[in-house]
Amino acid sequence: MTEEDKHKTGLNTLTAQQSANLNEWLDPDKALHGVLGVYEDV
Amino acid sequence: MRTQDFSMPPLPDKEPEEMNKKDQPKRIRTEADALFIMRVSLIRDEKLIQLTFERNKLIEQLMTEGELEDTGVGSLTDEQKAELNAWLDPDRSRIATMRTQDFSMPPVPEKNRKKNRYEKSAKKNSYQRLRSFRGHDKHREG
Repeated sequence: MTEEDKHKTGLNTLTAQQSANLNEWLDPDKALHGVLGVYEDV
Repeated sequence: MRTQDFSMPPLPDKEPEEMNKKDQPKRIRTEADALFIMRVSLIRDEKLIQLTFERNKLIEQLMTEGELEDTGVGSLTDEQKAELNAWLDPDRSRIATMRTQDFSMPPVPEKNRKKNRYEKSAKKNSYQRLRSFRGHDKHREG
């Protein structure tokens, strides 16, 4: 994420702990949310 | 005795966060808890594999109250959350472009390119056909 994006999203205001928690939440290896792969045979 | 031989070892007495990934029960992700969905479609008639990304839920819809607080997302303004969701959206053109560049392979010069097995067999078959055409294989036909 660029500095501009951090500013726009407000993530530049987060504490280091909050950033770490957010990264962990977004980590697909650790969290349940994220990408869901779906296979379809059309 | 045999029953004891095959019995499962007791689960490690650890807190969940200390357990290894392999120790943790497998959780099944569903559309209800996905930020976005990557859909792989095989279109048989056209012999195509299509990859599409679908935006599913917003980050604040998936986070619990505690997670909103722990991550600071709960303290963001609506506009900032909208920007964050837009940033997370894999359909963003800039990310799609970046990813395409990241994963694209540079073209291999023709002289360095190894032929794959299909091309090799095609060349071999072509050579065999040529030999046959020139009459090299006439003796085989008797």
